[in-house]
Amino acid sequence: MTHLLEIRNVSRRFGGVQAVGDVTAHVDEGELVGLIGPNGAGKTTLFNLISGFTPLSGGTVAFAGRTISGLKPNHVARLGISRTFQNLRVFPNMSVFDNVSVGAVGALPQGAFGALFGALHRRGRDRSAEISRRTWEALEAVGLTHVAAELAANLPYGQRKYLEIARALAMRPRFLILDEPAAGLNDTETRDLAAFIKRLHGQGLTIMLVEHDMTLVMGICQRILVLASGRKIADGTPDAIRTDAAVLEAYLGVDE
Amino acid sequence: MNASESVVPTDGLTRRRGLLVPALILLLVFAALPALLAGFDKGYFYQIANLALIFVLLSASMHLVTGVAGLLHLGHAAFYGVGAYTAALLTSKLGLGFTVTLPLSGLMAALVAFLVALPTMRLVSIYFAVATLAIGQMLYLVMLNWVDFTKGPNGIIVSKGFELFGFSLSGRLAAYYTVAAVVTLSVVAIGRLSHSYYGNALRSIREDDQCADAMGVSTVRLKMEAFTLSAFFAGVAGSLWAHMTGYISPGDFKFSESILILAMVVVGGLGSLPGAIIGALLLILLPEGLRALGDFRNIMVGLVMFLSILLLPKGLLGEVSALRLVRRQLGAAWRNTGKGEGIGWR
Repeated sequence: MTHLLEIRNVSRRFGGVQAVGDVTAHVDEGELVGLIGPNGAGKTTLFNLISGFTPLSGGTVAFAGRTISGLKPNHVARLGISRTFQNLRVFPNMSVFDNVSVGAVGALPQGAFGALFGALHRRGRDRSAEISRRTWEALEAVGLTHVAAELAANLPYGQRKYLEIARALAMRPRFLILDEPAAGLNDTETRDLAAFIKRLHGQGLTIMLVEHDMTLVMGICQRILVLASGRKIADGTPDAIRTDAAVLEAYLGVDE
Repeated sequence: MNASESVVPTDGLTRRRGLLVPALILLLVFAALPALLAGFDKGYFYQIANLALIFVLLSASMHLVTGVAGLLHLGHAAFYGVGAYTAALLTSKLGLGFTVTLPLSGLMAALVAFLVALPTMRLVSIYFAVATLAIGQMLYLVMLNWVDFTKGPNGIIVSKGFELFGFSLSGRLAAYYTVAAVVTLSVVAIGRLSHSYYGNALRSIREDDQCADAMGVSTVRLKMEAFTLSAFFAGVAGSLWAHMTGYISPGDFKFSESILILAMVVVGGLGSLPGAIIGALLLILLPEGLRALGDFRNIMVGLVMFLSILLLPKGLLGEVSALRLVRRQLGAAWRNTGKGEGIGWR
């Protein structure tokens, strides 16, 4: 059986530094997988390798049975992999509505011709309608419809996090990658976020979650991958990870 | 408005206001202004009106690439020049008329832009700006030094005025209407590009191109399109200029003209199409209005530019207010009808 995402012997060097070395892993359709590891373990690099931001030094990445390593990020995105960023990248000088619409625009065929003559034919009007429908849907999913007209820069930090997720959801992805979504949130906000991610997963979305917050990852993920120094050291259920000797040594032992 | 629709409570964005402002602008450009011009009956006033309209188009086209897509473009006047020289050469060498030169000027400028964009589009920020500066200078030097073809600094006399499929439009009023019609149609087209979901994609590239890429936006393709289309409209403006003045020379398209157009876009408001239009009108009409001050007027114009940037760094009509205005006036209000009709951008 083929996995939704298949990472085979993936590695990446930056000069003399081996950021990710020979990682093999997979994600199945409908899973909620966590990716943890100490600082500098290569988690974000692995995300960037999957989404096409960073070219691979070795190995292959396949999505839905198709090799995606070597493709440009926008191509990978249109195949159904959507992501958020660790350091919160919304489009500050655009309204909340316009921010989210970019996700929908990106997922659909785009071009100047359609924009110039779109209003003249039915298909163009349907596409505009589809974009606004997806945008409102995503805004409703994260509960930001009431601030749709606000500039993204004016939103408080917590809402900008949800804005980023809404923008990713407007793409109607098959696979959502969340890069440290709980960073900078307080306990209550993190709990709300956990419930929200669980709800998304419950609607059938496959999610991969990079996180520092151990309680969040342990609480909601079905399976956890652990990276340390660019290598995969463990892969299993939260209970198995909690007692894994290698993990305790590399991560929890130092942290606790 | 149907009460059962779920209406997003935003500050006045939810109601369609009809087409009052566009109708007023059309009335001004196509009825009130020509009537005034005909009343004064001075050739000089017609010249100024036409020049202002041509710079409205130049400013609007630069708005697309610099304001919306966020690419600092320092060679826009060169594409204006490519259009003007295409029109002038087609007229003087092949005897073609305005009906043919207008689209060809636009296409030639777009073609040149496309070719130079191929290697430069992957450059970012200041590197892109310097590349466009170099391209502008190269095109200018071709106009200046390829004497056999372009007649160099002597310039070219364009013997034919405006015409449409053989009908002469070279009378003062007919020429004004020709310029006004072409500029209006072009500005509407640019408006469709910048006030649509396509415009949103371009803005996302300006805001954070890596992030836009991750959202599935083909950043390089869209930047190429914006750059090429903007050159197309600059070329169209060039054709208007060539047939309007009857004489062009390289000096009309030098670097300082690119900077003037850039100043129009910035003073009006980066990212705002109404702002770009206001900026163009201000920087063309103000020096003319201050003619009585003699040489002093350029200092006054500089002072006005300086103060407007100091007091209104986002422009006379900034992007946020401009988008609100356009959305309201063109009826693209933000109603969430759930049926996908009449919401967001069209």
